Amino acid sequence: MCQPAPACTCGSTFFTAHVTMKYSRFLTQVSRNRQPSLIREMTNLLVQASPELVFMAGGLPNAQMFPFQAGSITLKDGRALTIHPKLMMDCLQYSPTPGYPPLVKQLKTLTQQLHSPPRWAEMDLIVTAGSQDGLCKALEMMISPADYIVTQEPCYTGTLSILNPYKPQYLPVCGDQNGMCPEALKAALSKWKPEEVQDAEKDVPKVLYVNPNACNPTGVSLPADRRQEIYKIASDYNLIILEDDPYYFVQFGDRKNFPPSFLSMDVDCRVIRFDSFSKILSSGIRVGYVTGPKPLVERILLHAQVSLLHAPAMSQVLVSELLELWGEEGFFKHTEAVQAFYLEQRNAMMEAAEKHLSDLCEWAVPTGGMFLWLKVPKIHDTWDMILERALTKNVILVPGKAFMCDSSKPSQYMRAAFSIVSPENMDKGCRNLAELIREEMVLQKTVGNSD
Amino acid sequence: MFSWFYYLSGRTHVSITLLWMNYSRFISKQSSRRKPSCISELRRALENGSPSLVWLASGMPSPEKFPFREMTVTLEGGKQLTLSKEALSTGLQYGPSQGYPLLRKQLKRMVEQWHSPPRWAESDLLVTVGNQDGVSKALDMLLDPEDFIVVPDPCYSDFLCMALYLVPNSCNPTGTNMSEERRQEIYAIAQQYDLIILEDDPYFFLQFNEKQLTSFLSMDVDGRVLRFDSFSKVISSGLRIGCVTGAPPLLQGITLHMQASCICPPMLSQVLIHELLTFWGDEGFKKHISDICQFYKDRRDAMIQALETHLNGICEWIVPEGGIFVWLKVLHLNDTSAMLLERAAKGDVVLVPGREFMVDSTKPCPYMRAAYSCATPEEMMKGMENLAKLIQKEIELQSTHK
Repeated sequence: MCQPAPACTCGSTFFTAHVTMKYSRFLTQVSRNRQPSLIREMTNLLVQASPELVFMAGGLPNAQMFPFQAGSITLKDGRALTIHPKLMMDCLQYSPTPGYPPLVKQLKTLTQQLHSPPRWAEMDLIVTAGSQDGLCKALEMMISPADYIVTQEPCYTGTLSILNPYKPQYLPVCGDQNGMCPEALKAALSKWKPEEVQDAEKDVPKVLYVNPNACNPTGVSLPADRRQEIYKIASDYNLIILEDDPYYFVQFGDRKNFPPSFLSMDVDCRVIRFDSFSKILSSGIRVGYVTGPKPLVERILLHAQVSLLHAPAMSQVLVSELLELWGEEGFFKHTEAVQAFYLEQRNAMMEAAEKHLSDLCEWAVPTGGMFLWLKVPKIHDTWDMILERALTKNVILVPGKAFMCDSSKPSQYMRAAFSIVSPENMDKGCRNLAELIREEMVLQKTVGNSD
Repeated sequence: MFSWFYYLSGRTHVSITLLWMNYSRFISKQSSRRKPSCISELRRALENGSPSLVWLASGMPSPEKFPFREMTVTLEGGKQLTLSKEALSTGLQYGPSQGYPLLRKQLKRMVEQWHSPPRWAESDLLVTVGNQDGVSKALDMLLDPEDFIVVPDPCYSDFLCMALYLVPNSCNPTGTNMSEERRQEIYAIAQQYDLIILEDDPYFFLQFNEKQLTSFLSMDVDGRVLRFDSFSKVISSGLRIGCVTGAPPLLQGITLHMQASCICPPMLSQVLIHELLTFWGDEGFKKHISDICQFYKDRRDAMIQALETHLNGICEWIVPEGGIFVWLKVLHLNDTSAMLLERAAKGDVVLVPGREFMVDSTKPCPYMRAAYSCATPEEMMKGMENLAKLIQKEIELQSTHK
């Protein structure tokens, strides 16, 4: 698979072998069976057509009859986005499946700027209805029942809910305050030798899922050296890396010092990256985007063509107009303001946790995002404590078990979100939590004694 | 099981046996393994929680940092609707996977009004990301690999891929409506074979005849119908909002898949549609539908005129009673694909070859589908003139090859 070649010209200093990926190996039979919709393809004829062409192939309703004619959005900074009638038609009519063209163009520029993917010419980018829908379609494209899947543990519950119905064979990889441990990844894959599995299609792991920044639920980020090690291991074992990165813009610290994304080091063209606007612009409008090797992004596109058709057009137009109004400077000014907000929230949360929980819990300080991952060393399992008793103490968190690949095992962890709670309530919540834990410790002892 | 005589308003007495369906047999293995997220379970705690409850559970981003402050839309006629702060805020944040509650309430009222489903008390409704996503998720829920599904032939091409799928009104691509008698017969057959009926009805509001045909939902005494409605032809296709109505055990699988994929249907789209429906009220909505029907009826008439002017003796067709398509059969050609895909663009007219809609797309097909939704009457006349020339050329080409 790897062929010796002159040193890669992409600017990467990590590897010199140029890999030619065989993508069909990663696809389920259902995904391979997907065909382009002829009708959607035929709309491409319009692009080359003469002005005399009478196009009666599409099933477009007549947008003249849609009741919204124009609109206006006022931003919090006082400026307005005007949706004039032509733009309103773009908002209301069917849109191309890959995304509203001006937005796709803007997102490609942004991605190139932020990540400079080494094999950009072989990649594509499409807009999705939230990054999770992109992730869901990517997993549905590659995972068949009982397949292996390599994933960080603890793992985002949304990803587990996509995967669990397949009854996959999880290869969970644990981490620490710096995220997924490369040694643990090697150990999870140690059952196989790389050369045995690189080209195999069945009964081998082929997909690795990772949240590199401000991981949900642990709140920690992978430093650059670990990313490089993980990439190398994925390359050795020929895994597709699913880089799920919704907190990219809410990492704390100077943007110039952000660790490199997996996409930016993707010399093999094996990364599918999921980006989101849900934390910085709006979660409800459902706009995200996926970047990856053309053959794989095409499969996701074909699935979208037969399901939701495209991400909501008005939402895409709004994001596009906003990015246009702001320009690059305005956009980064906004993301920095969002980052500063979450940093303040984190600091308030740390203050509350240190005040009330320092003798009861352990944690790593979140380096971005909105989650604090608490370990309660003296409690065997937080599940019952939270689901059965937390309400009486007026505090609710998520028990750690929800984030485990094997939900039958006990977990001493719990996740607290600090995105929308005030500093006063953080203090109150941590105080209530301390009481809850102390009572649980007593209960545990009592139950232990009565055995 | 219970039997009694049930009087359906305006129709004769019929004898109905009330069936308690065993829904689990229809659910695919994969779908049956979907579970609600822990966080949605925790959310129930919110309902029972005291006002002092400190909620640290959900990963909702803070709306304080969303940059949008106010939104106004101008409707046809110039009326402006400004979203309240609360409505905009709702539109910008994650919402329930089942749909924006206020919109669901409105849609339930509409479905009840239009269909009077016999087992309405046992039915539910979800908002979907366009009705096609609803159908896609329903099929994912019902079909294990290699399961059988009954579909009409020709059939809307993006779906070919225990269940009976049909488009009773202005079927895409044929434009035909299923008659009353056939609907009753088909329902009876579905009962006999215990099939789920997927009633896909995106052209429900685009029917040109006054008399509304009976929907499968409105005759659904068993609770075996999943009905998919769409706003794509009447309010907006781009906002991606539709809905599905049916028995809760069937909707559950769709909801859980939605939770794992899009998380929720687009909230801003739902809020806008809710505001619009509230502003219109029942009368406003009926007027809008009436205007739309007249618009498409005029287009249909122009299309038929263009066909009669240029394609008599060359093609056959059935006059559509609703929707936006006419299904043409070319009398002296075996197959339209090569003509339409390779030569039509140069001939300045493009239609969709009929083969695209057949379950077996390898067989030749002399049909083609024309949409009359967007072309002007002048363009239609020109288009049909071009089409006639194109077909003549194709017939000559074929006899040359022979």
